[in-house]
Amino acid sequence: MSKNSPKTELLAPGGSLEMVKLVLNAGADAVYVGPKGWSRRSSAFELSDPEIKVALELAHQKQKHLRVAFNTLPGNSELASGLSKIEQYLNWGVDSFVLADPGFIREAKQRFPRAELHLSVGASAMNREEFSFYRQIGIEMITVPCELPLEELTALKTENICGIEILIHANRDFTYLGRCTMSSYFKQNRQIDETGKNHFPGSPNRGGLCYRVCKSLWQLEGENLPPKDLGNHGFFLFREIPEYLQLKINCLKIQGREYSLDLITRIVAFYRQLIDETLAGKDPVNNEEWGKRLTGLTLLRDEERNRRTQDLLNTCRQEAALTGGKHG
Amino acid sequence: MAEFELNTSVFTLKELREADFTPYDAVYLGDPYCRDYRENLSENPEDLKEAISLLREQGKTVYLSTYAVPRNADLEAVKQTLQLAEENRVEGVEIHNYGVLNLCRDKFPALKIHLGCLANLYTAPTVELLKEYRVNRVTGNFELSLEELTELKDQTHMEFELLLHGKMALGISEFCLLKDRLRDKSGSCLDLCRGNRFLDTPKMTLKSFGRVTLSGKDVCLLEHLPEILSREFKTFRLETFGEARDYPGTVGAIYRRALTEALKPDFLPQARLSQLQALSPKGLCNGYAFAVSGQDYLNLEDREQQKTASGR
Repeated sequence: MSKNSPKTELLAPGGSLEMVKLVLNAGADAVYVGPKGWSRRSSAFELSDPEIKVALELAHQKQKHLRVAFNTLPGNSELASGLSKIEQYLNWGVDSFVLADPGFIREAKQRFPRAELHLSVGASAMNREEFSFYRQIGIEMITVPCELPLEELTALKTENICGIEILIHANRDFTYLGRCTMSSYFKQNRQIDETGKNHFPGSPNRGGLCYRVCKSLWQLEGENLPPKDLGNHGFFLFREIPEYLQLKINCLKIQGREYSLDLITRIVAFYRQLIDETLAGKDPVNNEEWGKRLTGLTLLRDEERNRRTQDLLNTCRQEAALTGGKHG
Repeated sequence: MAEFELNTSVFTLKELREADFTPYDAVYLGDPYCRDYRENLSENPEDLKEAISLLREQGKTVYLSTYAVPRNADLEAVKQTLQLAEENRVEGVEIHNYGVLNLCRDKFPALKIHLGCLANLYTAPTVELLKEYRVNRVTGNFELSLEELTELKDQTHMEFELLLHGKMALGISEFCLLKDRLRDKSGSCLDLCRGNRFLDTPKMTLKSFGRVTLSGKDVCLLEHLPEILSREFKTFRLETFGEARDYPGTVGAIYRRALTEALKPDFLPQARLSQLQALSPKGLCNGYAFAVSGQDYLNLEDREQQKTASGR
């Protein structure tokens, strides 16, 4: 998708082949997937190469796009294998790629000039000079940090340095995304798969699996209140959608490769209809029924995420207890 | 010329005056994590001038740090910081943000550039790219192990700075956690974040310094200096900001001496290790140097066992 495209794309997650099918049917214009070990999710929600090929066929059969995320920060020795994968996917006809490492981006663009490269939200590009830097090395579209308000987005969009992708459903983390190593400080392993790719479990930057330690309950010295989490909360943008459409933001992205199929299908269908009704001149964001649908989705989503967070924290603590750790 | 450089960072003139920086060759001035308080040397021209003068009288090399996470509205202030660096002829600027790097390359051609720890440097192609942006020193992401850093250094011939001791930055936020959670407290920003604001949860401690979250434990690589020096690292940071007044001087003196003795066969750091432990209420860790969890600590024996197990 070009940065000057008049159409706003709805991008949905593909955490499995079944999810790819469902989100395309629910109205996504494009779907993103991650090759095993290469994207910012645990490998359970990434796809094998044969699956990616099928996902591509599914998307293209519907005249829709497939984006492949290589947005972890890879080990130095893994770059050659990453470039080979990009070449293979490009030859299959994959439409675009999501990357985060500046050197990897530059190499990919130099070797494959026709590859459309997008910058991951994990790079947290947040100012016009940063947009220029990434444009110079080959990036066409930037997923901006969740923290940016409308006036900053408007300024960046108006300058038209790169296209802009916005997360309309995701989590607003305690830190800027990609600027956090708290999980791997707590617990990390090295786990190399049969292709030689290290999954770095515990490091979301390097391998995708994050133990979400910011969601643990933290007692702050000097604060006479019960412990609480550091702040990592899901959001559904709603009232902002008409403004984004008016601003011609290039892409609206939904996160959730780890969600249940039912939940992600509902979320994609919700946003598809919201966008279509808004573009048709209706006013869904001021309609009570739409507000109720959103509340229902939020409850379902929070339930699922909280369960998974507790599972991750428990696993991590059990592992830490088993290995004992080494303490100075 | 010194065989290696030992440096640290100082955020305010008051902190520079109160502590002993004799053991250090160089000092990074200014707080890259927060723009909220006016004492920040990166944005206070008068204090900065005085700080530079004090350090130069002591024969120190002076660098200036720039804000790590600037949004559009911060760029003008960052430009002024770079202007101050140029006017005061500091020996280098520390940059954590690729936008600031772009700005510095284009508008301040005389400045030498060091890449800071929050820039997410993981790969050799990124180092090669940075050379084209005039970067001449880098800090790899703290998640990189000593072996990975050695490989990058040797492959690119770039100067790599290594954190030898102190609390490492683990994350940076848009908001100040301390203001958010201690808003009923009176006092200035500096009062809030200069206290020991530890955050505790089962099996892990962090330290909040406002927008930046630090490891609760102090990274400590004292025991491992012989291995580090044998890998030919020459530039070392001791992170001392936000600590008690005697911390920079004491820790600096320990490492200054250890660096000169580490390659001798009778290098025995144990007594000094105990001193460092006493200064670190939440304990010591090695960071990610040995490819284990960042909060773990491997002593020499553990490290030897690890090498044996991996066949190195």
